[in-house]
Amino acid sequence: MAEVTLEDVTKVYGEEVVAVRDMNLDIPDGEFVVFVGPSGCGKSTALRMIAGLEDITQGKVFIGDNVVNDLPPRERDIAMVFQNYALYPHMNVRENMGFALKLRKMNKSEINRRVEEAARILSIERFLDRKPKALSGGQRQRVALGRAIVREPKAFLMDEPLSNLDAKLRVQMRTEISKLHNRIGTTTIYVTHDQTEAMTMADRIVVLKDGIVQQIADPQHMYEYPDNIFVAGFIGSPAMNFIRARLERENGGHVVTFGRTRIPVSNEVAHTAKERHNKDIGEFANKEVILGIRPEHIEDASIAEGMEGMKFSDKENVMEVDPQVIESMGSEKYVYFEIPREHAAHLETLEEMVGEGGGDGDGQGASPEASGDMMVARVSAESHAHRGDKMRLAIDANKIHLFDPETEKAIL
Amino acid sequence: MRGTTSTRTRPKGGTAQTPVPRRKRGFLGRALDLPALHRQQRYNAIFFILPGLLVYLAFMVYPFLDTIYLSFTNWNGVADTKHWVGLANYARMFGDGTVLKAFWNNVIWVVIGTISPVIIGLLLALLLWSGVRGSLLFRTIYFLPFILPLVVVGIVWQWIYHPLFGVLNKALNAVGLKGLARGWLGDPHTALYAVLAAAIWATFGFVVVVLLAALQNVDMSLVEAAMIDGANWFQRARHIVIPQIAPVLTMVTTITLIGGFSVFDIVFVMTGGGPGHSSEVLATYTYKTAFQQNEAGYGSALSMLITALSFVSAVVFVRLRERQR
Repeated sequence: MAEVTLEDVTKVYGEEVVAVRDMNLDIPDGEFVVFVGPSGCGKSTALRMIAGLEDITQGKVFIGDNVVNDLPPRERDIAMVFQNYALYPHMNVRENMGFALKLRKMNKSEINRRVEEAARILSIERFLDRKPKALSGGQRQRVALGRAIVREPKAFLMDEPLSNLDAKLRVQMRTEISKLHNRIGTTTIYVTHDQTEAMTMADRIVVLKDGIVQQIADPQHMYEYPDNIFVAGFIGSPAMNFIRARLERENGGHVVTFGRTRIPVSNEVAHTAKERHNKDIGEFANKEVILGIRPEHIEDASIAEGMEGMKFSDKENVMEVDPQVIESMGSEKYVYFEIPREHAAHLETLEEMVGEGGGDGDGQGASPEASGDMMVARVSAESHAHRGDKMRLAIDANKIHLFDPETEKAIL
Repeated sequence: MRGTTSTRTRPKGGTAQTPVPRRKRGFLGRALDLPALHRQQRYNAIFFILPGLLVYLAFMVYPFLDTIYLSFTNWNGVADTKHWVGLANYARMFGDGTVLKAFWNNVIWVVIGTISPVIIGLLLALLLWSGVRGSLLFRTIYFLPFILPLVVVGIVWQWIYHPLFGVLNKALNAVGLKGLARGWLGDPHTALYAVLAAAIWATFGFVVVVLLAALQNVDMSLVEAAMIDGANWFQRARHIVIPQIAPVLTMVTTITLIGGFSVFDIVFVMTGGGPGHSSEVLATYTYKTAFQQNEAGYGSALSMLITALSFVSAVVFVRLRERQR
């Protein structure tokens, strides 16, 4: 086990295609780090540079205390799990798992011991003598994991290991990988395009876009305090709603307005935001800002009014909407509604995300709604929201986000 | 009335639904007896197959059967009369020293002539595939000899081997290995191997190109997984890459192998089987026997031997390969 460090790591393909730019990252021993971002963001390239499958154009990669830039993969002592499992088709499960150990000339009884131990952990003992093609997707992925753990490597690298599994199995394997990590404790770098996987598994998430690290933080922090519009839109499901609004000064404080809706920003909130983002929201007074509201921070106003502790009571931070679609999830309802065109954010950043389809169709990650005029609110199941009936939605003023429309950086 | 009811209750297309008892049928039987294939389509199929089939029957099947017949006669190739001699021609083979010599030369040809191009071709294909610059150029260069007719290859190499003017001897002289220079095709000890070298030169390019094509389909993530598992170049080739291209490797090997027992043209052009019978192979001996010594009956028997050897070697090899899998 070892820590993994990236120092100004850059990858350039050909003359000018920059896949990863100046990536800096310190992964302490035993941490589970997830690289997440849309495809083409450089997350897999970064992983492959750590693995030694890609040359590093600039910068340094350390595994433990050693710079590994010029070491071939086999001298880096890392194990990797591939999206398509990459099991050797002509070897049975036992041979697949023991291959690395055999190459190291480990004695047979030790290989057997380790393979059987790993098989037991992953409950694949029954399949040891089968060929990969006689296994289901989930079983193959277990074998691939097994092949990694028998090595007892310094670090595990996982490149979208669950993407080829169906939704249900993916959720199950997600938990299993987390359990496995808790048990073995090996430093793990996990690449995915699925923000749900990132949120649920990571100790820390690294969000990448166009080869540039957008933010590195633990899941909760990233959810609560995204650094910019991209992270805000990418993390969280359903995705955050963005609205073009104005910031106005009022009674010594500030208020965010769009249409007839007015959301007050308390001085307290403004103050902590200034400390966090190093930017005074006062600079944006009387200017356009991008307002970000998570669907879960919008409630049916008739229900919100009865709630305590939430800043829904103010009649002003309410908007009247015309629900287009209502999805009942049982525990809650998703209310989809349009906002007037002039308030729609139409951000390029977000449209890129939409193209990726976020989380593989199981409703995770960025949804098409993020880019258009369509907004979504996640209201209580008790809500009487009905398609075609106008309704009032209350916004939790404490939970709003504001972004600079120019730099797209968070200011609140 | 009752009749109509029964017609109505019978499910529509009842014949199609009743399970057809599975009979063991040959390939042709299966092709012509597909339930979905209508009668008209069946006739169409026969119509399309017929021309090719007639050519095949006239120029392959009939001569083959006729050769079998001739191998039991003492026909001289021109006379109107021939006599049935039973197995005499076959018995004669066992006492014929030249047959034995030619057979051994064929065995040498098969072993060296199959293994060398496959190994050379495999190594070169792997090297080119591992990302040597100018892969396309090399591929073209290697493949060029294969598109030359073997007769041309034979003539070119005759010049290379020429005792006085040949490039090979001149080169040996130039590097101070004068002692090795010789009349390569005229020396009974080297004649067969000299011809073999020319044949290998003409075939390995084919192996390179075919294997390179197969290598394009190798799953790169397996190779990467093996790199991470700690396999070096040779181990990756042996444990990961070669098993993946095994079917194609078998195919190329079989093609070169089967050709080994029926090799004729290049030997005939370069040495004619000589000097003496030193580079004689079964095909050249068969040709001489049948057409130069006018022993068509015995020649037919010899050609049956070649057929049997080619057939057996192909079957054995394919079976071995299947068992491995």
